[in-house]
Amino acid sequence: MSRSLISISDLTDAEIEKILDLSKVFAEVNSREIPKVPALKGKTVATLFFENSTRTRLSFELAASRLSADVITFSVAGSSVAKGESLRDTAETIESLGADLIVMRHPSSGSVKLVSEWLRVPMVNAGDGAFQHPTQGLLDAVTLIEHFKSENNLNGVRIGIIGDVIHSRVARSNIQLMSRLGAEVVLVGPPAFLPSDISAWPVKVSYSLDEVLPELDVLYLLRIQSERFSDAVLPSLADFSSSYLLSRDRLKRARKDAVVMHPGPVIRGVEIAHEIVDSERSLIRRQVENGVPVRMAVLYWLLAANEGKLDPAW
Amino acid sequence: MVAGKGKFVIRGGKVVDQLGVRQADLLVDQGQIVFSGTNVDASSDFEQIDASGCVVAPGFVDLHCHLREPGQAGSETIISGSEAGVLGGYTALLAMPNTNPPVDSVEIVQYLSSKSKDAALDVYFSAAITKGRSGESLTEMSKLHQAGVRIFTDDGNGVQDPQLMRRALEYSKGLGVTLAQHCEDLKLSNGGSINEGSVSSLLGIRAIPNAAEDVMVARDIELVRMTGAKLHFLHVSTSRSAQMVAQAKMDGLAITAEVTPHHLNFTDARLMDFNPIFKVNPPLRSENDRRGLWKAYFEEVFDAVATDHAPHPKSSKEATLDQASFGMIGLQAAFGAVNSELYRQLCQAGSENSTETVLTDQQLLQLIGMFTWKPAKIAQIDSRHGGPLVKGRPANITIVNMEHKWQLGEGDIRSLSVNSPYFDHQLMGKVAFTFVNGNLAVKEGELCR
Repeated sequence: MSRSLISISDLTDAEIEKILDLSKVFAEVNSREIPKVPALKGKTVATLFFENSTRTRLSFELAASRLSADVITFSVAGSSVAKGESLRDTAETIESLGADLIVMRHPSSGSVKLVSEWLRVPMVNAGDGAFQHPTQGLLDAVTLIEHFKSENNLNGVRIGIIGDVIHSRVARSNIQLMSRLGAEVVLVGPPAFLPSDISAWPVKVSYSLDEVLPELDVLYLLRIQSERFSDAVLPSLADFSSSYLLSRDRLKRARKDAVVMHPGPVIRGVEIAHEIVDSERSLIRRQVENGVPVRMAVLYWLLAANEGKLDPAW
Repeated sequence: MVAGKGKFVIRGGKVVDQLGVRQADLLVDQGQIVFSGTNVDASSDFEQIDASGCVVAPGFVDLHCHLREPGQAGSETIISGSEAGVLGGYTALLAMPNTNPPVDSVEIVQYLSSKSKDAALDVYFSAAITKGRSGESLTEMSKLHQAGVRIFTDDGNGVQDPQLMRRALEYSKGLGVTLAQHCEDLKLSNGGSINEGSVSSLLGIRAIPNAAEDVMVARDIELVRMTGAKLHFLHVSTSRSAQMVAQAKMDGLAITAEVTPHHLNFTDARLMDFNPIFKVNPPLRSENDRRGLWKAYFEEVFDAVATDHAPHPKSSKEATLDQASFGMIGLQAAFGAVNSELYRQLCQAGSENSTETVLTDQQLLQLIGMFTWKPAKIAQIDSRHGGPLVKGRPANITIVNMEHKWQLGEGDIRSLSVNSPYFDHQLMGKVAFTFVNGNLAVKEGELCR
């Protein structure tokens, strides 16, 4: 078992800083005419996705190939998992094929940690149930640091994380990371969308978006993850939207310089009004763009840095 | 199990049974206790058992274990479970009916009874309250009663329908049997895997709130008040449920309750690293609840310690927390687990006894009673099990070295499954000898088969 990235809490402050610095280096690489470096030449990165994903998987695969790693892709549909293979057998097979690092997404919280205990290769958690999605947290931090032009911190920034917090791995990673970087985090949503006991979390809580809206610098909207609950958490999406949709009217009551974020995929009209997604207030495109250099940084940090080659030479 | 032919003299032990605590020697012959007292005179053909420094107790009785037959004999069998049982000091087990098929007919009870003839101890079978444990219609309780069943339960499920539960209580009252309820409102538990609280919030795991248990305990207390029937609450896990049971007993209702070694030992903090070994139903609760269970223990709210011994193959525990099976094994570690945690609780409470390592007679009687005569009475097997250890009684006897510190290793497990939470756990109090109907089943901590 080697060093993996499962949760934001795995990282020391110095390691967070290192990854943020590395992602700036790789952002520069990405801006080149030929955005590719031989940093991980000869290494094989496997993506092992048990849950549907578009941007995250593509973003990791692009990151790996821009580092000149070979990429192998495993997705559940049509695989041996569909034929009843156990999680352990699947993971061990991928390792036996020669993967040097496995990027894994799975619908169960704790699944990536479980698999990492069975394997020798490092793993990156690309989202496990409602537990963690650390690279999303890192790319969101990079996006905000870039926006606020700060020195690897978010001191004094007031971030509202709005909506379906309880089912959100993005929220759990972001709450930890943003608060460690100095931000004030406010969770906003109906009680059924907030975890039952967060008394020890470094957050404030509000049930009213309208009440906290004027104080927030960042409006981070979450996707409502209907696939993760079966009972009547909400009367209807429309009823939820009447209180929590970031509409044009609500945005007018926000700070003039407040920005809008969303981890995607966006359900336009439920969480955010259609036109706000593409407005100049939205950082949503930048979040996706920053995904690649941040994931390059994480892959490089886990694979090359483990071999003592922490400072890129190109 | 048939009565043994052996002759034994048990010397120097401290006998603890419902008659009290006393220094006494016992003579065992032809499966019975033939003498109990001091200055025993035994001829040389009696095998000498040195019990000095030990507690000599009635054989332990477990109201709640899963022996997995019929249907899952790869996880446990009646025989393997019985061997684990005697090593843990048990002389009688009540097997739960959530098997495949479930124990819901006389034929299955008879089949299982015949299979248990070669067991290392006496095995009794509880039967389901509802056919197929599906919660829809009652089993033929009268016929099952005639076949020897004394406890009925849908354990693993609670009876969800309150009207059906009312009818079950009324019918059971006529038969003089006891219903045992697994209190869990399935709508409130909502497919959860662990306790709802700070840990589930952090881990993002679908969770089971205390209320899932508490609302059914509250409902059933009122149904007992209405019907006057007998009801036993299985594996109480919340502080609030323990309080309600205490109040119901004060009201004079015929309610009994059990607590498990694991709910007395562990909290949901054990799940912080997603370890599926600690996934159990009802779930390990908060430290506040664990404190509430110990408070109830000391106030004698609980009638029995029951293991909820639940063997599972490795494959069903080598899984994500939401996919892994509920349950842990407990027969071999139960007494040591409760006894060692009892010492810790007494030390923390700073009681007068805290500097000593010996329980008072009162504390001993309470502890041993919960393993022996109280559960034997609930199961209506007290004519054979649970003592007292006097002349004429069947020789079901467990000898425990109370101060023996030990650890349970995977290689020590006699069950077919090894999903124990007690590996690497310091246990105190080890079973040295177990006599089942006069047969020496465990000698110096080792199985005699």
